[in-house]
Amino acid sequence: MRVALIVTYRDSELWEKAVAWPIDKTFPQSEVRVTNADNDKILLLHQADSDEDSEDDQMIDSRRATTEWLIALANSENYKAARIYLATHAGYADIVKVQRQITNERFQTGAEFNHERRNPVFESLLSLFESSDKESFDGLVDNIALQQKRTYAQRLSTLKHRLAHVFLPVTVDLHAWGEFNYDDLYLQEIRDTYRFDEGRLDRARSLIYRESSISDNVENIVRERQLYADESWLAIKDLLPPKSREQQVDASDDYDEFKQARAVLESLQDREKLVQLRTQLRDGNTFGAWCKELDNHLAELVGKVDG
Amino acid sequence: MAQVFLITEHKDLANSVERYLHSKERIGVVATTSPRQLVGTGHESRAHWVPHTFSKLADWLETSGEQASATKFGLFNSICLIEVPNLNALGGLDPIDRTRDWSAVVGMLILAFPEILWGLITQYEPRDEAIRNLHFLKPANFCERLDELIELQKEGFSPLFDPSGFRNKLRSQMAQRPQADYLPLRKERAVTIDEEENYAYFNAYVAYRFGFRSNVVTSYQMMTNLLGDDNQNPFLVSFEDIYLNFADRRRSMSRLDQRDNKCPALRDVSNRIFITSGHSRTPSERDTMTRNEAYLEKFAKNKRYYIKTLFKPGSGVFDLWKKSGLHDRFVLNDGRANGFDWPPPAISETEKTEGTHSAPGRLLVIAERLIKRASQVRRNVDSVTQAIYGATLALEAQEYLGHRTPTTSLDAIALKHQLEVLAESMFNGIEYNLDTSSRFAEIEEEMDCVGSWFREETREVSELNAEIGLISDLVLTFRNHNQFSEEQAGLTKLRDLNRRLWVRRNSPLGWIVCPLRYYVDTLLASIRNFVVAITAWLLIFGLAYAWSAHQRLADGGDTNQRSATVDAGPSIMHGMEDAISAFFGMQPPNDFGAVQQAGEPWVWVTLFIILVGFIHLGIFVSHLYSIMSRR
Repeated sequence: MRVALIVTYRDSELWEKAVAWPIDKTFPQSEVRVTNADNDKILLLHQADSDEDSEDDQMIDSRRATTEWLIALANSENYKAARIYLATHAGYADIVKVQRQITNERFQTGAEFNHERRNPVFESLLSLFESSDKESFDGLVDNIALQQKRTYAQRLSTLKHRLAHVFLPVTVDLHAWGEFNYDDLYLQEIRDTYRFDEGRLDRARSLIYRESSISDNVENIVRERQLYADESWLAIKDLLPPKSREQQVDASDDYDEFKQARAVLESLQDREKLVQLRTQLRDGNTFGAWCKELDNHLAELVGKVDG
Repeated sequence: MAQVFLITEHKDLANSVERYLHSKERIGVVATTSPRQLVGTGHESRAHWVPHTFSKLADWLETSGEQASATKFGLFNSICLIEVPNLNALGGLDPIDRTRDWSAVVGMLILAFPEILWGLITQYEPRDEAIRNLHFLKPANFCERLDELIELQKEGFSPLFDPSGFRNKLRSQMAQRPQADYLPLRKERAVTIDEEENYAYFNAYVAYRFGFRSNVVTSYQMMTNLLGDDNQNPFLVSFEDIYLNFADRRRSMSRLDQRDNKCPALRDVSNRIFITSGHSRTPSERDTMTRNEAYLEKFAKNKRYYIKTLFKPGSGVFDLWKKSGLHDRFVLNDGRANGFDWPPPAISETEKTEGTHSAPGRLLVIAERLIKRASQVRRNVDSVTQAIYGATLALEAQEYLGHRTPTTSLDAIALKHQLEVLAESMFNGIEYNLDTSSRFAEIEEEMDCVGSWFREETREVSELNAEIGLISDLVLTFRNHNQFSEEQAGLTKLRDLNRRLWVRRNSPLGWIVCPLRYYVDTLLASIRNFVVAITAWLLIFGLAYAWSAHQRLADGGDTNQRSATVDAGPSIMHGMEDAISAFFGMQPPNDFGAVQQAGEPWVWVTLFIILVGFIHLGIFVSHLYSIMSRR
């Protein structure tokens, strides 16, 4: 059996359309409206209320409670053998958490939607609520899957943007220095700016690796999409290895591009090293090339996640 | 001085860009960090957060622009770089999409600040080449693109008339929704080429106003960059000065065959309007003129091309469009570019019940921003280009509202006309007399559209009130700039409107007095009307006298009196003499005794003639005095 869990808000068009559906009395935490679509089931519930004072706290509290309901519902006796599909109004539930906590890897796919006519998930929900047949259920599942792919791509694209921004100021400064023919005046400005600049590589790593991250990162997406063996991911790891492998990297004869980029970043803090860097930059901007390569591999990964 | 604004999450990026641009071009960079987005994406919170964040950033832009330039024009043709990390489609910038947050704020800023060249720092690249090259900077090509934008700014590039179609693209996204389907789209392009900035901006504005996205070209570099490639989307209209003398010119562009070789995109322009002072004093100028005429002759034979030459000084907004023949060329769309559907149709009663009641709230916020800045421009304007800038802001506001939020729409319409008239009046390069009748007709049309959103019972009075207020402001503008004939035309229009309003408010008595007021208003409209009216009255009274007094005497009146009148000459001539004497002398004619003998009613007729003469002469003299003292 397939089960579509739908999260909406009170008084929404979907909620009103389901007013005549029976209520699942086995789930007392919230009003869950249930109907059959051929051999499958559609479960509709609204976002949890919150007693918090501030709007932000209300939102966080409500999201947390709704996510708990979804997990409890999907793991409940009635649906413990069902394959779960989730469509939630944007921001109302944590899809990743639901995915992780549904037992026996029954979670199939999940996506956010909004109650606007142009949204494909919403359109297919309306169609499913009208006809409640297998064909409409399949349509909904397809659209959720499509939307989920887009969500992965979007997350990765945002991470790629943030990663590029970690090094962008350095790129701009090196470009500017080149425009002034690597003169001493600009050298001094660069040195003054980056004298106390540290941790740029660590900031970049926190966007890529789980070990140094407290928020979303590329590795999370790679794991969710099972792309650990993907060559773009491996190339990214070579270009910017995780902190835990730094000693191994130093001992190795490989990782030249990373080592050169690291050397450039270290040179920015020291006048003598900057003078040496000037000579190196006149022959070619290895740091710029490293940034571009990292960016290209991330772009490839976005394409694969999207595909 | 050129400005670059930067809205980024990263302070260190702002510092790097600031260091670079200041060292390279002495360009000031003003930066702010983009506000933190809310945790979660709640529907309710987003609804509040988006307009609130937009307002904060709009305030910052306006204040920074003013502080950096010490004028109200600091944002004009400036560059703003803004980070949009999570953009994955142009639709994400749709300002009225309530599922978006930061990208919707960016969309609102782009629409609210048309004078800024927006550069979006994002991973996304749109398919449209013009939009991509001009407005999108990927971190990977950031430095190269930044250099290109700065170069464009130096060449005098102006985003004001949406040359790349970026704003048009956002409009088309919004127009897919029923609540914003009234938004007009500009699919066609125009280019205006003149080394004199006033002409270039004025002509570009005229083209924009009538539905063309316009490129303003004021430098050789920009002309060759823009028009040197004939593989781009062709321009449909061009306004070109013939004798171009750009400050950065490398070769003459006055010979049109040579110009077209250097700028082959011009060959594909199907409507070319040349605007020239008609230099032909030196042999070289005469030679150029002859060659140009011969060259254009070839185009004239091909029906695909429309060529027209206008001579400077130019003419006002409406005159230029009509005299150039472009109004007739696009007559199928009421003189506007194909696909530019404006004004929006007046709302029907059925639509009113279906819930499309006013412009979307976020578009209203954008329009209010535009109106506020247009109003500031009006108060501080001291050049034609600045007035055109303000008029464009007001025009944009008017279009975003689609007349659906009537009061704010009226503000936008009023500002647009005032700033257009200001531009026309301040511009030494255009003729003294302006086409007021087309402007008043357009205002009336606009009032009809706005009026359809008023309550039906008060609609007509509201429309008249609004029109009176609007034209009163225009009359003041005409007066302040000594546009005498235009001021008189405005006063005539005002009298007409006031009479209609008075009749409407004082019905049914108003209907009785209306003809009299109409008559007086018609008299005041022109001296010619006065002369015609006085002549007509004299003829009527002359004939009446001739018929009455003399006829009665001939039928058997007193023979002594009869001889007196007969001695005075032929009866019609005598009647005219009596009428003139009574009308202008404001006293009975010399032979009033004979008139008395014709009967008591003729005494009253005489008194009536005296009264009519008094009224006409009184009004005529005072009107004439006001004209003489003003001219």
